[in-house]
Amino acid sequence: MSDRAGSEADMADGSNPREGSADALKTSVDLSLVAERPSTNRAHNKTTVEPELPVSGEARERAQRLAAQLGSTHSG
Amino acid sequence: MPDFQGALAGSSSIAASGASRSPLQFILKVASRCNLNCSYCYVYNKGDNTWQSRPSIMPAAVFTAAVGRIRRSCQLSGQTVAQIVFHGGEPCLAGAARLKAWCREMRDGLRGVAAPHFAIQTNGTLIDEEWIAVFREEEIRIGVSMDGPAAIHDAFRVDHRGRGSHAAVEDGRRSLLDAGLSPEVLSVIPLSGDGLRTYEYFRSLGIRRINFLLPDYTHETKRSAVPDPRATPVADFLMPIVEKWCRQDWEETDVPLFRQIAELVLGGPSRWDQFGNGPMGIVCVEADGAIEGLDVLRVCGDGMAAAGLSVLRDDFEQIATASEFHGRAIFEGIQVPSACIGCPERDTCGGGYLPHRFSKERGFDNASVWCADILQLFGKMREMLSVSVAETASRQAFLRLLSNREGEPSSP
Repeated sequence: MSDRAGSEADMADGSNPREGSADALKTSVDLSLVAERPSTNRAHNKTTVEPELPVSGEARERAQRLAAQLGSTHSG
Repeated sequence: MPDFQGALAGSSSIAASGASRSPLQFILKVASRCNLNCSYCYVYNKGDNTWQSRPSIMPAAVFTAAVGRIRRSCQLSGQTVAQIVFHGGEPCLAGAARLKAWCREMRDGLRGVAAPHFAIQTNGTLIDEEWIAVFREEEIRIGVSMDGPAAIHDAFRVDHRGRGSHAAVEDGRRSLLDAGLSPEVLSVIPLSGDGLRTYEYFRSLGIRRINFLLPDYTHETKRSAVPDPRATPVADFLMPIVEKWCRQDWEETDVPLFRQIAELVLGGPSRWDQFGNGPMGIVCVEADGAIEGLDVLRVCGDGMAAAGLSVLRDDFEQIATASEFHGRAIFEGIQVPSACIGCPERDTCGGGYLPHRFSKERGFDNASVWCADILQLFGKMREMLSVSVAETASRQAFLRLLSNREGEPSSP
């Protein structure tokens, strides 16, 4: 599919610009890093299992505030 | 037993007591045989022969001993959740009824100490209604090993007569989805082939969690598979997928490899043993009860994963004193390879996956055999997220500060 065809497809389905999606990914990871505080316990390469990531509502609210600080360094 | 000075520079003060270390994940090799004979398998086809002397299926007495050791380890570390992974060989060879009974024995054995969270990594060929019932009743997360469409999958994942296993895996995968279960796919990257096509194939099957594994080669063996030292087949395979995932798919399709790279370049910790050079936090129990460190180290040579311990006699924490190498790798993390000093991705990549660093001459003091591929992947993720190396460093500092504040009393 050509770039042009891809752009038309994006407009047709009403999706956001692609770069916007990558930005949303960045924000989402920021939120998880602050709120969920990923455990340093690591997952085995040969399984799909990962350590548990407990998330409380309070933690997520706090993350929204703190991620804003991280977000201030966003260049995208 | 391996002991590589290159990996062990600096003083050793391994946290064997358990109190000061991160939780362990427990990989139980409930079957030491497999009904498949995948050409790249690190258990059977990479030079390690320890499986030949082990019982086909883990004896009940070994499993019971493992439960006791896991309970004791959780008590020592204070961990309240125990990740228990049924692995092999092919763990379904143990039989659904036996595994169900073992899940219950594990729950009973850990009661009051830790909650077991079960998972199984299977080739998917033996899944039937009985297995599906056990997965559901015992809340076992399911990972299916699958490499893509038949043309790719059957080139590597064959039975003992060399026949492809794709059709049988597809039956198993379809049964799981039809039953409302959500299997995750674990896929070894082929050294040629269309990555995007493979990824879209999985998505078309309804798979919403796809992970990719870098093939297991060392500096001794990679040349046999990739003769051109300038070639970057892993990056070539993954780069188009990274781009599409970042732009379109990340919300509906989880690719832990990419998510972990994104977390690392955004200043987060290593949560996967592939990157970051942190403590492995993983112990393996073989079918005969042998306690091993990282099982994949067997690609580096016969017996390389062995620690000389057994759940029939020893606690997991004794690895720290039985094998300085395994103890350091599991509880502390070994030194970043000297070749990585000065690399802008030293603190994110961390030298790559431990087995992929190995050479006979320098032990584990080498960059990963996939170094050039990994740098391309990290570079691509930085481009997609607009994060420079300097920004990663400032983010790491910020998150460290945040963690430190976590322990302080809150202000009035």
